[in-house]
Amino acid sequence: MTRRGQLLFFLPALLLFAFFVLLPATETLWHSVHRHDGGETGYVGSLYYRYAATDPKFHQALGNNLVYLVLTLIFEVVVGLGLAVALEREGRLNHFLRIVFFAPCVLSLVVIGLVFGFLFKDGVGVFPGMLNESRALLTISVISGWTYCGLFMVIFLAGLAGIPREVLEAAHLDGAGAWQTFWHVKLPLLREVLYVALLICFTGAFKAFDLFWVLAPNQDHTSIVSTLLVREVIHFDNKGYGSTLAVLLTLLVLLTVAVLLTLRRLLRGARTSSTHAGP
Amino acid sequence: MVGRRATRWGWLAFLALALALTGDRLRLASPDPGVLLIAHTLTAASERAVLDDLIREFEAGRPGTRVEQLILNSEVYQTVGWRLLMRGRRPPDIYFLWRGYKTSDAIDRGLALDMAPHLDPTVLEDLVPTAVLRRGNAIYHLPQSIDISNLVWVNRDLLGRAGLEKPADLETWLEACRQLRAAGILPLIQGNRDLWPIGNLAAEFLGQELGTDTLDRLFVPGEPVGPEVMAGLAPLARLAEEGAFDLPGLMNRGAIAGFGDIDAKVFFLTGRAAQHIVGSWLLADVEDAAEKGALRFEVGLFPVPPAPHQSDAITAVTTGWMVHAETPDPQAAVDLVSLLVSRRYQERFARLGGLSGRRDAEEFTGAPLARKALEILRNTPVWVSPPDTAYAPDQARVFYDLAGRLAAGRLTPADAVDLWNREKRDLARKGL
Repeated sequence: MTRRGQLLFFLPALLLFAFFVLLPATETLWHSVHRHDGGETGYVGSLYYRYAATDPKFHQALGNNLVYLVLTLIFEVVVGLGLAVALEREGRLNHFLRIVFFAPCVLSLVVIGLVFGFLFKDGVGVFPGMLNESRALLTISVISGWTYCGLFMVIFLAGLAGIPREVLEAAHLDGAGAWQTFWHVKLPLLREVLYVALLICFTGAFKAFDLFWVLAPNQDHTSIVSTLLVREVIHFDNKGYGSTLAVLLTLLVLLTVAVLLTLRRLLRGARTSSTHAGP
Repeated sequence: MVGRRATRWGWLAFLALALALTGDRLRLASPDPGVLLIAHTLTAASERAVLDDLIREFEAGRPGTRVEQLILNSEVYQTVGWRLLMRGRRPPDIYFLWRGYKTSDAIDRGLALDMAPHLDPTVLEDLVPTAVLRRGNAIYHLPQSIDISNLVWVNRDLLGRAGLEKPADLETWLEACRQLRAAGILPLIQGNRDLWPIGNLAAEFLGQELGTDTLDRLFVPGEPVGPEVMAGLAPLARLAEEGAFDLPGLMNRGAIAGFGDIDAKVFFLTGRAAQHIVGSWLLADVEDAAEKGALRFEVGLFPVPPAPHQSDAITAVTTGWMVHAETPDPQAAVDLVSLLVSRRYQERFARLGGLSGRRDAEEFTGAPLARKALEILRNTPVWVSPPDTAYAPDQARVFYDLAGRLAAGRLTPADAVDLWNREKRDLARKGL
C-alpha cells in the first residue's frame, strides 16, 4: 500500500480519536485548573491538585480502589486461571461449564448490580446485610469476580491451547505430575497471556464504576475514585475538582500500565541474561 | 484493475448513500421560531396525558406554532440534566424548576425572562402571591404546584391496632414510635439511599428549632456553626436511637442507608410499616394504589410534630415554570405557561395529587388527603425550603450526608458539629 493510502486509512480513526478522546481529555485538563462558578470561570492553578493531596475522601477512595484491585486480582484472574486449567480438557461437560462460567460476562453490570442489590437489600432481600460498611467492598469484589472470571477463563484457555503439545508430553515423560506441569511448564508459557490478563484486571479495577454506583451510592466507605469524581461533577456541580480527579485517575491507570510493562521488560531481560549465562 | 476501481467507486457510493440517509439525523439542532421547547419532569403517564391535552389546545389556538417536550427523570433533571440543557445549542423555551437556588442562579445568569410585560394581569390575580417568584416588578417563575417535602403518612389500621392516635407533639410522637415498636410494628419506614429523604426531614427539624433565617446561615459557605445550631437535629438522632427506623427481623439497624426511597414507599403502601415520611407527592401513589384496589388500609397524614418550645415549621417548595430569556417568541412561551397555571389544567393536575399554587386551589382539590395537605400549608407559619433546592448543591450535599449518618446511627449530634465545620472548611478550600 502506498504512503497516501496508509494515510487515508489512518485519517478517519485519527479524526475520531482526536474528536472523541483527545479533545475531551484536553478539555478535562483545562477544567482541572479552573474554577466554575455558575457561568463564570477563573484560573485556580494547582488548587484542586493540592486539595486532592490532603483530601481524606480521595485517599479513602484511592485506598478502596487498591483493595478492590487486590480482590479482583484474586476473584477474577486467579479464579479465571483455575477455571481454565480445570476445564482445559475437551469434553461435553467442560464445554457446558465453560459457557456457564462465561455467561455472566455478557450481562450489563448495571443489571447485575440491580439484581444483587435486590438480593442483598435489608428488609426484603434474601441475604440482607451483605452491603454493610464492613462487607460492601468484599461483596462487590465477589460479584465482580463472578461476572468476569469467565472472561479471564477464556483468555487463559486460549493461552493454554497455544502451548505446544510436545512440551507437555516431554514433561509427562519426565514424570512431572499435574501440579508440577502447571507450575513449571504451563504457567511460564502463559506469561504473555498473564500480562494481558493483569493489564485488563488492573486497568479495570481503576475504571470500575457501575457496580459501586448501583450497589452502594452515596456511601463513603465504598466510594472509589470514579464514583467520587462523578459525585463531584454531578451532585456538587464542581467540574473543576471532578476534572482533577479524572486527570489523577488517568495518571494512575497510565502509571499502572507503565509499572506492568516495566516489570515485564525487566523479567524478560533477566530471563534472556540467564539463558545467555549458560554454558 | 478495472474490478478494483469498481469496488472503490462502489464503496464511495455506499458512503455517500449512508451520509445522505443519516445526514439529516446528524444535523445539530438549531432554534426554530415555530417550535416551543418545554423541558419538564412530569414522567407519570397520567400527568403526561394532561400535558398532551394542554399542548393540543395551545397548538390549536395558535396555528403555525408547535410544542415539543423534553421529558427527563426528576433526579437526572435536578442534578445534571437542567444544566446541560441550558448549555446546549437549543435550550428549552420553557423549563420546569424547583424554586430556590436554581431559579436564583437562572435569573443571575440571564437565563430567565421577565414574564411581566407578556403576562395577562388576571393570571397573577389567581395565583397565591408568595408562590410567584418576583424580583422588583419582574416576574420569573409561576407555580405548577407547592410540594410539602415532609408529611408523616400513617397506616391508620396499624396505628389503631397499637391503640394510638395522631401525636400532638414531638414527645408523644416519639412515645408512639416506642409503643409501635414494642407491639412488633416497624414505626417508620424510610429509604435514605439517595440521602434526600432524611436530609429533608433533618432540615425540617432544624427549621422548627431555628427558624428559616438561622437555617439559611447554616448554609453560608465557609461559615462555621456552634453546637446550639446542630442541637436542632436531636429529634432525628433520638428517632434513630430509639429504633424508629428499624425492627429486629424486618429491618436491621442502619439499613436505612442502603434502602431506596421507592422501596420504602412500596414497603409502606403494602402495609408493612406504621408510618412513612415523604412529600405530598405520595398523594398520587396513594390514589393510584387505591384505584387499583391494592391499598388495604386507611391512609392518614400529619405534619412532623414540633417540640413544645419550637415553632411549627414545614418543609415546602414551589415548583413551577420559567421562560428562557432568549426564546424567539416570548409571548407564545408566556401564553403556554399561563395555560399551565390556568384553573382548568391545575384542576386536572390536582386530581393527580398536585397541590396547586392557585388561590382557588381548595375549591377544586377534592381528595380528602390533598385537602388536608392544603390545610397544613395554610396553617403552618414557617416554611423551610428543602436544602437541595434552596442552597448550593455542595453545601446541601454535606448536610444530607450528615443527616444520613445520624439516621443510620453512625453519628451523634455532638459529632455532627465537628463534621459539618470540617466539611465546610474542606469545601472552602476547594473554593466552594
